[in-house]
Amino acid sequence: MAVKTTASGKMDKRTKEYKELKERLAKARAAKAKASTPKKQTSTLKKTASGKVDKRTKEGKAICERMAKARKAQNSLKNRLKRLFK
Amino acid sequence: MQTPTITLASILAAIIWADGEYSDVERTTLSEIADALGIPEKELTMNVTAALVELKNMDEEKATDFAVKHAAKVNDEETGEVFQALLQMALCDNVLTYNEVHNLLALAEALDIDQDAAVLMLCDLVKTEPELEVSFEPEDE
Repeated sequence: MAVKTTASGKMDKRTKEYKELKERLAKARAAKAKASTPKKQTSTLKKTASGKVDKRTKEGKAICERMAKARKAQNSLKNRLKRLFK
Repeated sequence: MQTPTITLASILAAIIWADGEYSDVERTTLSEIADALGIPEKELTMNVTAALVELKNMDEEKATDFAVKHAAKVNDEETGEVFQALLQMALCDNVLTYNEVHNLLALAEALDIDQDAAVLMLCDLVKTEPELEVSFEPEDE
């Protein structure tokens, strides 16, 4: 494709070719930006009307169980003895 | 630990036997106690089993005397650790009963832990156990 240039040697911005070229570049930039943006993860967790996780669901119960385990581990006898006596 | 394993096992057995059964959760807790106090699990389990055999033939009053007698033999430097282990065992079934509190306070006295400190230690454990049920019902004899 022959691109018309001005007398100073720059691309002639008034031509159809230049406008098409600019359009293609803009599209390529948009596609690149879209590809690099991480997809926002949408949660599948069911929530109550107040926005809290519904603990009656299987997922909600699993979360509660994990939290209880973590709480127990944090307050294990070993950790309590360390905190109180060492 | 300087305290003889048989002493610790006897007091723990009295707490275990308070409700008349040796449940799975109590076995798991016993293993946790052995680990935390640096006692071989097998040794502690064997001693607890032996103490439970003795306790089976005792009424509630004699069982409390048995626990108190052994609590007095705990090394002075280790009474706090032993009391924490007793608390862990008493609360492991997620129910804190009137009788358990009574026994814990009697044992605290035998361990020479003042009542205020014993109650504070109990509160410290209870505040991290949201599922714990506190029962005010006096248990049937």
